[in-house]
Amino acid sequence: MKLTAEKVSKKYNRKTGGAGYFYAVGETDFALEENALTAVFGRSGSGKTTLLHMLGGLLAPDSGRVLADGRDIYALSDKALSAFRNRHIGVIPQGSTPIASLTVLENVLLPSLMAGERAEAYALELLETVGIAALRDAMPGELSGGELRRMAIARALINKPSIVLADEPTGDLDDENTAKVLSLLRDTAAGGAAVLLVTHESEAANYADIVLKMDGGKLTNTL
Amino acid sequence: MFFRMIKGALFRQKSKMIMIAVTIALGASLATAMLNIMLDVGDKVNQELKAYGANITVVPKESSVLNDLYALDEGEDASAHLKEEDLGKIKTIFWGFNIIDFSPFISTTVTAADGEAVKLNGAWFNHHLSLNTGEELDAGIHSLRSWWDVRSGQWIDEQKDGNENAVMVGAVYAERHRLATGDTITVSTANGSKALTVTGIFDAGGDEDEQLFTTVGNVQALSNNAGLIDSIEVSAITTPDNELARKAATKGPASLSPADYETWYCTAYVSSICYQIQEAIPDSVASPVRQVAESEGNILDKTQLLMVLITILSLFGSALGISNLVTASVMERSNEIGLLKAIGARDYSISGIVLTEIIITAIVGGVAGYFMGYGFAQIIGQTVFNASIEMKPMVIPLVAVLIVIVTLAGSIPAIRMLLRLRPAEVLHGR
Repeated sequence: MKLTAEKVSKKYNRKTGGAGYFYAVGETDFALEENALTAVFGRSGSGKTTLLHMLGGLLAPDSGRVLADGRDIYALSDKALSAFRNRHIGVIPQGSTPIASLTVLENVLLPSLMAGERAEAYALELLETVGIAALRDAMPGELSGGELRRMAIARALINKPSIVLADEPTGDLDDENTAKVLSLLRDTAAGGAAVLLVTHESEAANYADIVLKMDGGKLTNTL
Repeated sequence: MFFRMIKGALFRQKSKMIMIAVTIALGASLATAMLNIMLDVGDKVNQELKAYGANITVVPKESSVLNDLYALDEGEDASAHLKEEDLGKIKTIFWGFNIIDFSPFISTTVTAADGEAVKLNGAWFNHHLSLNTGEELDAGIHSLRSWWDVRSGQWIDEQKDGNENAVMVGAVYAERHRLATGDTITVSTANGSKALTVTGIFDAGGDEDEQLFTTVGNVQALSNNAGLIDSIEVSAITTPDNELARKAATKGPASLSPADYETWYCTAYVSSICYQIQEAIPDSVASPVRQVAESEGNILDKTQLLMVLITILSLFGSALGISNLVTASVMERSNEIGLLKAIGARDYSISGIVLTEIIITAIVGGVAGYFMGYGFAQIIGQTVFNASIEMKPMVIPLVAVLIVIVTLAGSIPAIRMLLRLRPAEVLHGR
């Protein structure tokens, strides 16, 4: 699936400092390529997470459109947009975001259950891949930050999405696990998915097909 | 998994859920207590008001017509009478069970030994009746005139031999004639004389303090009206008047449609009981003592309004409490809710999870509140009416519906917040 952004922008209110608002993302065109890992680097507050959320159908842009295979996703109904997110987008959010009352395996299975399936074998395979298969029955409260992050990656991949949006997925991880996660995202892209990696980890550039930089809400292709 | 999520949420937010359950329990308990009292208070207030005497008077038809024509006081026409033997029929009417006391009255003017004319009243005091229905009861002014202060002596006990010529004397008359219990008064009319023994001296706080009260038989003999009486006072438990009762009272039962007539006849309105008494006692006119009937209605209406207001306020308070607590619960879980939205959950299914949690909590709080309300109702019943409050089964579904409404209404702000919650903002920590 091809995901493109046409002149998208997002501004937030800011009471002080001039105009009363600021642009987190200025008018931007962007295309997320299939079969490729696109890495966007940038400092905190540069607008890269906002861009990722707009691409993922999580935050409507103030202007412009986000098109999935030519269809404006923000023109979809709540039901259709929810289904689109569930089936086509795998989001790895910043920070640890488990459902605290479910086990690790259930957390990973949740998107597949919402889609009307129970992909337990694939969930176990993913847990194996991210290295936390032994913790399948553990509760999220028993996991470290790195383990929670790996669980989130497995959850994002459970529905075999055509688009994976990863927001600082290696933020809490040591070097070994960082390498594992980046390899996993690299493999996902190689499997046909369009992967967007938003990070400030310079090592990620080694795994990326396309490297972009975000600064002050503007996207450039130079580091 | 859905139930695991709900169970997990309930246990993780234990203290908040307990607070929600307690808030609901308090609202439910007040609603239960007030509704039960409200439904039972009619009988209780009526019983309380029975202490103020009869609420229906029955007079002969001729006497009533003359009273209406010449605006006489009831019973002034001495030529019209009712039959004492018909009295028992009062208990045979449709609402006979609601007739809690009654007494015949007959009066005549007698001359005392010092030549002074005095009104001598005949009445039942604690007359024992064995009805054809098999019912046994004691009727009379002992309970109909419960406000009389018997200063010395005692009430006449009709069931005790030797009391046939007993008399109770009004306090003013007794003081003027220096009478004491045990004294004898000889009274006479053109039909004969009687020596009556003073059994008790009473203070009624009115005209009766200048009068004498004895058994019906003595007055019938002195007035040559054997087996006859002037009037009957009846104390009945009645339902407060509504539009239907007022229409029947002003325009007559004939003005009602057959369906309305049936409803009116089968409801214990004071007017329908009067109508049934007239049907039972030949040539009689029964009419409500308006002050008493209206007092009953007014007190009942105001008491019930107060109960309704307390119920509404308590439920409104509960809704506010629930609103704050559920909103806090949603805010606390905004990350989880944002994540669920991000992975494809729809607003209605997330709202469903939150509402299911709240409804489960509400059921627990509601059941606890119902039993608390049962206790409150009994405490109020014993304190105010000195009687237990009968728990009405219809209150259970009523309280259940009210709790659901209050819980859902209280959850509206939280659900609105949940619907407005944008996953990008909570996942990004904005």
